Amino acid sequence: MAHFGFRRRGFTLVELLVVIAIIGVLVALLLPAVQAAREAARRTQCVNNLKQIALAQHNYHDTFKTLPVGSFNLRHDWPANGTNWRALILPFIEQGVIYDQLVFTNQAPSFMAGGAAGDDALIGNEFLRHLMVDAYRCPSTQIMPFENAQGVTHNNQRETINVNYAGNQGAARPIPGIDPNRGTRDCGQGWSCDNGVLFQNQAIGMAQVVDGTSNVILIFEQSGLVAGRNRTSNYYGGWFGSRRPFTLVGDCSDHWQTGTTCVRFAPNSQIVQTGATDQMYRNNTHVNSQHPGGINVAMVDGSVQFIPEVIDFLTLKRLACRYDGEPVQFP
Amino acid sequence: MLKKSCRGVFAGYSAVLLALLAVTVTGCGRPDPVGTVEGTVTLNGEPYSDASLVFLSMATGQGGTADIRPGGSFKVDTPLPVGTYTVYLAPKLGDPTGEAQPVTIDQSVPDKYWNEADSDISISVSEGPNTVEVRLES
Repeated sequence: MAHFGFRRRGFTLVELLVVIAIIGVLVALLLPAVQAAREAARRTQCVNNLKQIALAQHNYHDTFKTLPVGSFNLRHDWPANGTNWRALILPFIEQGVIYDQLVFTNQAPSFMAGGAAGDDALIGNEFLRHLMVDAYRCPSTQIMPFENAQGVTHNNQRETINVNYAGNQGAARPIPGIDPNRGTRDCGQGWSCDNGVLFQNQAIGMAQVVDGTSNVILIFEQSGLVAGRNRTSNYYGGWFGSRRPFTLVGDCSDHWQTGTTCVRFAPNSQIVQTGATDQMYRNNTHVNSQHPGGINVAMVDGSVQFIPEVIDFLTLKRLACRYDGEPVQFP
Repeated sequence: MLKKSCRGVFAGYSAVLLALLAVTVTGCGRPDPVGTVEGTVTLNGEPYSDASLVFLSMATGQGGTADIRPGGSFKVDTPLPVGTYTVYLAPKLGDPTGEAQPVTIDQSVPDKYWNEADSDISISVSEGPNTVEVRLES
């Protein structure tokens, strides 16, 4: 038998399988890294949105000498026809074209996206239907831009945008060292607050942020789900204002708002509490995100910070309250 | 001889990769200790069930809820991290559809039990099962 010194040698099946297994393990190690990189890019975009919103608030402040009101109602009875800070800062995020078309004086519901077909909704502002403002959407969110969430009161049948950023109304009691009769009260829709920055019917300037603009939160991220559902502050769609005035004395049982929230729970909490977090019109809608481990916030000074969900709870409340008088440090 | 040592190297690689895979999949950390909470609610000694309970930690802002069943018993649906929780009442989960509605609370229970700021009930959750009795007084 002819012999050529070297026998041509192939791979055995076992060797091939081992190589495939090694490649498989390497891919398995790599895939999460790729996904993490993609999420990091989305988070960066989300942070940039917050930065733009904070800068817009600063430009608003330069123009009008106050920050915008968190939300307002033009009339104290129903239908209240107001809007929130998201509409007021539009000229400062290069959306002046939208702002110039908005009807603010109409006594009919101009910012309410509720009602079945034929009902009065978005009168004069019909163009808000399906209108996308990219700066108001966090790319990581699972909430669809124009969804009208089923099974939980949403009243967004006209399908205006679900905004992923909510203004900081303040923090709920108890905050040690703060007069319990000041700044916060539960009117029947969860704690309402006016010890934050963007609250109802009153605009404040940076001079009123006595804790210092670096130590107080301006905008929260609100882009996650609570118990599998969209419970963000977007009742009647993302442009609606508020209903009935918040007062510290007298009846305010029917007061609620869209676009702002009051800190009562930790970020990314899943507590569904009737009268506080169960519906989008409650005043304590959770601040949350799909980013791993916490949420982004914009401070009044325009910086954007990451708040881990394991933050000391009192620290978070002190960051939300503008006049608690205690030094706080970021975790 | 060459073939044999090759096989040995491959076998070695496989063993190392398998071990690596096992560590990656199972992890090596230990989760934070949690406890389950169940018990009963009484108002002036009588079983009370016309509300749900909220357990909120003032240190972390985390917590859980539990609907009170007829007869006054309850079980928190998720295990809670060990720690101290303030307990307060909230209305039962209502109809999730329809217009914005203010909540109505049961006036037979004092106001202080309906929020975390005024409630004077707190419980300590330790690892494993916890049984607590929530006593409301009017």
